[in-house]
Amino acid sequence: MGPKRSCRGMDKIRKIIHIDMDAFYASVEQRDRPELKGKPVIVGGDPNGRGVVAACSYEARTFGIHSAMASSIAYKRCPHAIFLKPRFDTYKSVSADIREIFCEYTDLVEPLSLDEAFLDVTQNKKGMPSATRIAREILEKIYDKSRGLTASAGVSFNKFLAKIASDFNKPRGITVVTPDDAADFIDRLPIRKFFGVGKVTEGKMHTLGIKTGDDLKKIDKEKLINIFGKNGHYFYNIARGIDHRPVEPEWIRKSIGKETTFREDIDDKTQMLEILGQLSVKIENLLKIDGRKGTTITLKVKYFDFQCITRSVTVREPIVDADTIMRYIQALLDNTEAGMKKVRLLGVSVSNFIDASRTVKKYRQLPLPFSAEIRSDSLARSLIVED
Amino acid sequence: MEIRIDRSELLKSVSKVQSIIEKKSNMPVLSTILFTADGSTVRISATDLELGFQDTINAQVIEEGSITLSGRKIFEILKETKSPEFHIKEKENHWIFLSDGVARFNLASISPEEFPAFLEPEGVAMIAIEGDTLVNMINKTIYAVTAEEAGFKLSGVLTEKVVVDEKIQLRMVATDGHRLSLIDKSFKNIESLELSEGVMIPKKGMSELNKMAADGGTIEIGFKDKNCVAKKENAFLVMRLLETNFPDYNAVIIKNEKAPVDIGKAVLVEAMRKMLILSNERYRAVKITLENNVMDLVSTNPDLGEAQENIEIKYNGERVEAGFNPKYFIDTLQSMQSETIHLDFTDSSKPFVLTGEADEGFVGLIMPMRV
Repeated sequence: MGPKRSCRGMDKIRKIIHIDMDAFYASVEQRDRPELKGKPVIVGGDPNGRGVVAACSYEARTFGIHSAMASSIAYKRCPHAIFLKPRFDTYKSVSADIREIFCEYTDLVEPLSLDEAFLDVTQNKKGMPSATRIAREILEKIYDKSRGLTASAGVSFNKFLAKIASDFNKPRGITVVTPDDAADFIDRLPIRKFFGVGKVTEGKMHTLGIKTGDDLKKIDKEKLINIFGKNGHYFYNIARGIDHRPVEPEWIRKSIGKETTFREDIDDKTQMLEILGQLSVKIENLLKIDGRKGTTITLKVKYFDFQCITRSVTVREPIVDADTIMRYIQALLDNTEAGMKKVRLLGVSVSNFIDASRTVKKYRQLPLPFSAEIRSDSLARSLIVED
Repeated sequence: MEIRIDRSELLKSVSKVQSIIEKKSNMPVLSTILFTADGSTVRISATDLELGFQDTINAQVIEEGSITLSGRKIFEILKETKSPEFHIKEKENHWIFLSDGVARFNLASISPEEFPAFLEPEGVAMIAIEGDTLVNMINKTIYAVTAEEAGFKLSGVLTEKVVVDEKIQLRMVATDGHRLSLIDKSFKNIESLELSEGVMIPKKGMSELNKMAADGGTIEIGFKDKNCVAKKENAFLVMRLLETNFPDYNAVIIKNEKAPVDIGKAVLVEAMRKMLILSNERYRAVKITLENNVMDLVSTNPDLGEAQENIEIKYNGERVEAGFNPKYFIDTLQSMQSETIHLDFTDSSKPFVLTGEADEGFVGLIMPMRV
């Protein structure tokens, strides 16, 4: 977040989209268990325990239930609600699918959690001039790819406004705040809606007579800084629609992979190896472009019945070329049922990249080869397998 | 409690416990020394709950009783004063009056009742060991104890009774997973030492035991109820034993003799020290090559440069090479007495084995580094 980067956005008006899934966890549960549709569903802690609500369906919200509320209170408000334990693995996999959609448009994706993210589409991969159009396409694609989950989008020229906008017309809504609308939009915004204003700050604001964005704008900078410290500066700026924070993708590429789905399932191993060879060449090129070296090779096989398996091997010498990849892939393929079973997809990936700063540290102290079975103590064992 | 006591006698005792008392502890009483006056003696006790030390010295007891005093402060006061005699008197509310006849101190103190109870060494079967023998054994193993803290189960020296060449021996073994040092010693009355299975004596305890044994003379030692007790004259040390989660070290001690080499200890230590100059956290390894009657040592540090030294040896076998942490060599060599060290080199994936004629019963293992 150096000043250099924040200035980048000042050159021209940015196009920022905030995507927020509607009642994400609860919607996933309703999707996977259609009998829950139209019912108050609460995902989170046990209502008899000390847990809290992680998410709740819109039906549950009509009872005054909201996330972060104690599950026991939620139960009192709506005893007939269906309480479910979160299935994070499922949510993560849906979230990953959704992120893939974002990446079709831009690499400037900043995920805030599993169910929301900022996108900077000022320059996008599809060359689309309208951010609103992109937002609409994304919402449609999410709906299709996730089999019926909905999201809301906020479109504006900075993160602050985009985030507030996405919440403005939930569920399944798109709210656009253009630079022309911004002042009006902020003026009418209840102070509670400002990002960074919780109950305590709201109380303080109210005692100062600040109820809306308009009221906030009337307070001078020094006074705000006096009362709210460094946040005062932030409040002063956002009341004027100023927020230069860039969308910061935290994403680091962890693997390079390629896969192919066949028009017709194949069972000829020679043909499979030929295809894998082509994939390996593509990977070699990608590795070279990125200047990366990996140490783990993974083969992915999806059989005719959609059963999907992976086989991987980690090697000592870094992998850079297709021939090396294929040497291991061949052995990995022999370790699958490919050929005996028809195959509909094959994939190859290289991961476990060697960090450039670590490659220099080529000296490694070897451990004494104590045999592992002797003592059951985990510490002694960790010492033995230590790298 | 009120006593008059010889300052230098007291200072000697108080300085012995400085390494035991806790500097920073959430139990303030552990930073104190307990003084118990009884008859014509004062007992001085310190503990960190893992380790306890007691010493008894003569004193003129005016009033019997117990007090605690900040171990650090009493030590500093005793060091600064020149008077031959020291006066300690308990006042109300645990205030302690101290005087060397010139200066007067009033120190606040913690109630002696808070001081943790001590295992009394009565009923422990003790055997006498020459202090020198014990010092020798400890010095040859303690450096190999892992430096890692945090519940690491190897943070002690495994001590056990073994039979080697039909003789009962006391064995000490230490390892940090990269190197291992082992020593066997036999001494009089070892058969009466009650030690049915191997025990782990913590590093700090070993270091205190070493100090206790270092003044020469004999030291009595015994084991009871997960404790090791050592006694010398009027002082005794109680060490709580660690859980014995020691790996089976027998399997890693190889006798291969593929490339045996004899080399002068002084020459090798000196060379290793020079190699160490260019090594750092990142570039630790020194490459050792044996070929044509030469041991070639090379230390390479891409940031600084290279160091190299050739040592003449008697070796005609095939060329062998491997990388090593020179620090490990120096540690092991320095603990040895032999002027000529016997090195046994197998290959770049097996441990180097160090032995020496004057270091009977000792074997040091050092694993190579992958270069």
